[in-house]
Amino acid sequence: MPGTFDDQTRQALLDAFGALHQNLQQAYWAATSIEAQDRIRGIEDLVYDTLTDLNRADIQSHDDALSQLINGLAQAKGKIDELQGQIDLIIHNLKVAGEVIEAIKTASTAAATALAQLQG
Amino acid sequence: MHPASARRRNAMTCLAVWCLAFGGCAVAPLTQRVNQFGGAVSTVVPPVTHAYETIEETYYDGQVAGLVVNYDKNGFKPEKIQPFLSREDLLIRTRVLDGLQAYANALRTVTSDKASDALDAATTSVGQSVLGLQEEGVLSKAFAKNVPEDAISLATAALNTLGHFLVERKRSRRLPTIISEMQEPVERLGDLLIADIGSAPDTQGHGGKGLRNQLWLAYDKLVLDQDAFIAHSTLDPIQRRQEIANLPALVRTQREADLTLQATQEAVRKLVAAHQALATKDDTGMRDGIAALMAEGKRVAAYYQGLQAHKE
Repeated sequence: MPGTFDDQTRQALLDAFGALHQNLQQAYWAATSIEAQDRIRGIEDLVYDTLTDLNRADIQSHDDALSQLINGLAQAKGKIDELQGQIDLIIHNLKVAGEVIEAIKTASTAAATALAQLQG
Repeated sequence: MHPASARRRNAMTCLAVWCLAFGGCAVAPLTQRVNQFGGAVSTVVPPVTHAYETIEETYYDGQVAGLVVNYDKNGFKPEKIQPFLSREDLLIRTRVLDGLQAYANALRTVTSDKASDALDAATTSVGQSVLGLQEEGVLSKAFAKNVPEDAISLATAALNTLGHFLVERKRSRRLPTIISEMQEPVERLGDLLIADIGSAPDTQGHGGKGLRNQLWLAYDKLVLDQDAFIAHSTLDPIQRRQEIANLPALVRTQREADLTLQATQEAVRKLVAAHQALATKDDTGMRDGIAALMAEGKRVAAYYQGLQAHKE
């Protein structure tokens, strides 16, 4: 199976079958009868399927390494989100300070009004 | 003016200038570089996704062309129609590209001006509330004498600067670590995507691998099957002309599609370089930052001196 080969062996097979594919292509265009072309195309279909398996295996050989990166990216995003949370907290604290002062102002106005009523 | 009050003002002004020096100005180049990286990610993710889709479509077209030309001999076998890559293979790539996009978006959010705007709004609100207390006479009751309005404004400005400083300190302490930790994974991701895309074969049929090889071979197959279809068909001259015209069109599309994949690989390389630039100190940006800082420092000093002259 193409998936069981190491990178070097897989590339050697890709090169060997790639060269065969290239030769069959040239032979196809050089053939003088439809029958000869059909025979060449029949072999070429098998070579194409083999090269497809090898290319597929080559791409699939990256699957594990890519899967590992998914977690790393998610963790980095988590750390940035945490930092964003800390920044939001600083802003929130400032907002709360404004709200507290606003509440003092409201209470002070209410107290002054009540005092005026009592004195009146 | 009371010496203690002057010292307080001096301290606040120094604080404001110091915070400007080590806070707000230092972030401008990083924001720019984060935006460049975010732009690179947004530019790269769609063509990489499209590369996998293109190969699937071309592979499918090759299967259909083979079916059409061999139908009389082989008939139709549904199980023969298969995708090039499995659903799982594609899902891994979709998830890793989504993860990269999410990482870039988070970086953009955390370095954006939104926090700065929110901070300005919050400190302005505090300042207005304190001025409200002044108007209501609450401050004069609390401190026995009236607090000057410009002192409240200066205190609000100092609070604003302090807020910016705290935000920038959080960013400057955490972000470089996160970014430098991610450099190796981003490089690895770039290498894997470039390897996935692979290379087209040379004229001897050597050196081909990955998506580019598969795409090249699929087009070779499409051309051969198209030629065989023409040879075996009994087409009228107009139809025959159209089918023959498809042959050079396929050859041209093969080259264009390969060039597109090659350009996608180059874009991935630039993305990795853009991430590398996030962790690199930008001297030009730093110089601009220092110039901006000096101008801002002079402005604050002039403002402060103006206040003092007015009081005296």
